[in-house]
Amino acid sequence: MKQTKYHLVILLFFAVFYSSYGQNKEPYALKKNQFRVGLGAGYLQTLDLQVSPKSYHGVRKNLQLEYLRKKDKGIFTSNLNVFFGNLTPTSGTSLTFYAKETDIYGAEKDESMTLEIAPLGFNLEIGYLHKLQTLATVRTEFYLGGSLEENLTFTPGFLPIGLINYASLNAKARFDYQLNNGKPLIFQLSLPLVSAVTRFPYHNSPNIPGKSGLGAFFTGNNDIETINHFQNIRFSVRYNWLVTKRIAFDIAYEGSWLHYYKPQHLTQAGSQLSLGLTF
Amino acid sequence: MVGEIIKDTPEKNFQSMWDKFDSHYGLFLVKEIDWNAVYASHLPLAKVAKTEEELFNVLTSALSILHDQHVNIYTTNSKLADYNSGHNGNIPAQETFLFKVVQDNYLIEYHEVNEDFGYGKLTEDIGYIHASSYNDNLSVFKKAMDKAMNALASTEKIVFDIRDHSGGSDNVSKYIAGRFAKSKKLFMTSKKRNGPGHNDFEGMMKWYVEPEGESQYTKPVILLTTSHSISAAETFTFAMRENDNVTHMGETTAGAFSDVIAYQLPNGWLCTIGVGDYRGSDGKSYEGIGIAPHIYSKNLKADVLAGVDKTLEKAIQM
Repeated sequence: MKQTKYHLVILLFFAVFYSSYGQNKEPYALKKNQFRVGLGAGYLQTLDLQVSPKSYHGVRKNLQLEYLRKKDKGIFTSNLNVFFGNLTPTSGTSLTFYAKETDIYGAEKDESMTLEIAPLGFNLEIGYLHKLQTLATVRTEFYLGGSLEENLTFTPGFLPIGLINYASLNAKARFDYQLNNGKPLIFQLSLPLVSAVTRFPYHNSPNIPGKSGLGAFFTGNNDIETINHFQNIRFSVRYNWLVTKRIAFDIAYEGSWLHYYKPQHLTQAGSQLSLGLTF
Repeated sequence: MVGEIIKDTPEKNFQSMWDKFDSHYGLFLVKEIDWNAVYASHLPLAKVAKTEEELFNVLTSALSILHDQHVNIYTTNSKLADYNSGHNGNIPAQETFLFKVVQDNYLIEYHEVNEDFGYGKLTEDIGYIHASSYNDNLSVFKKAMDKAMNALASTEKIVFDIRDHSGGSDNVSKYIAGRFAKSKKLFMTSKKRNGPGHNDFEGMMKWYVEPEGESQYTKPVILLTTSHSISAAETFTFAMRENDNVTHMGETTAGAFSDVIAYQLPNGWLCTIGVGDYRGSDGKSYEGIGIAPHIYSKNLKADVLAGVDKTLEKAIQM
């Protein structure tokens, strides 16, 4: 019975991909429209002085959806990345807290509460990379461009570590290098030029008459920042380790470093691996 | 990789706590507290503290001066457990109210919407609403109030019981009070810290109670409180008392109104800090004082243990 289920899944998998080949018969590398689905897991370290002087770390998992349109002069890209994870203190402090309670009958009870710090959010990015023809060689392509990006990281609960929203205009660079085996290695670098950054206000407790928590968060707490004050640098390298004419599997690494100074310093460093399928 | 971490020593823990209160606590001026004097008197004690227990004693001694039920320490040590500044120790048991007594001995019907909210009837003509917190989303309470208002529309009066209400959202307080309002009235102002000076506050916000929802219940309402009715229960009391049809009965409320944030110390313990200065519509602060009822009534522990709720009986007879 189990085997039958697996066979059905495999059949469905091939049916989906072969139906997409039928619509686009160009080889993978030349395809104008490319879709990528990726799954990633990474290590993230966070220090949010607005909430705690302690640094936190944990694994963040994500689902990546990407659409890429190649043209002679450049590449249009759009990405949606949905992520979630857990944070625990880097040093061995417990997140279990205790309280003594007494009821009306005089019975004392030791209550304990274990905090779960579980940030979740999304990242949406739309960009254009222009091909620098003069720098292109048989093996290399070089692109420069920019992107518009929206990112929300929400940490529900008592300790909202790492909570931030930003909308950025990024500068981006991409370098494609074709290896001897004919497979491309893709390097990318991104950094924000101007960003609208939203954090909790100084008092860390947005609460406005008649407004929801989300509405209060976005009211009066938005600051336009340049890279002097908001840094979010990301570097990635992607290797397509299995390329057929029509699909490619890839493995990608991304390193990131984010820092914002208001109302108190938030610093994050991340390192992530992901696997993707492009078709 | 992400910056320097403050060392976990008794002195650094005291310094970290003192700094956070200094930069964020909203009631130094209202309570006329000399926080620098607290630093001067407690830093030497923190420097010589050797054990967690000694540190706990230094921190709690410093916070006892604030006498604020919103100020707590939660430790990761099960023996030390927690501390509440307003009670200068653990929060004592509530001895003048037990919802089970109402449920078992007075209600002829009761519908629990969720663990924090329910409604029913004390007699065919007297409705009853019980709320023990406003911690959920406003939309949850809108639906709950719609149900309660529909079910109790034909009653002659409603007893609204918040005697074990532990707080929550002020916007829920505003909304629910609006279900009993005939007109728009100011019920509260709030302002919160926005800088390191004790007098650094953002602009004052005005909170109005006004008719909310599809229908409003404008027949008599009796609001019951105790000294355990705290925070959003008290902002709700502010709002309800602006409605002409509401009589406030029971005990004086806890006297802790402000929004609270949590901050973690280098040793992992949590402290909670009230960051605002909340006032009644008369401009007065009731922090540490509480809201005195129109009609004072306090149950005896012996009565409650015997299944009798005399305050509720008075409310029924009114």
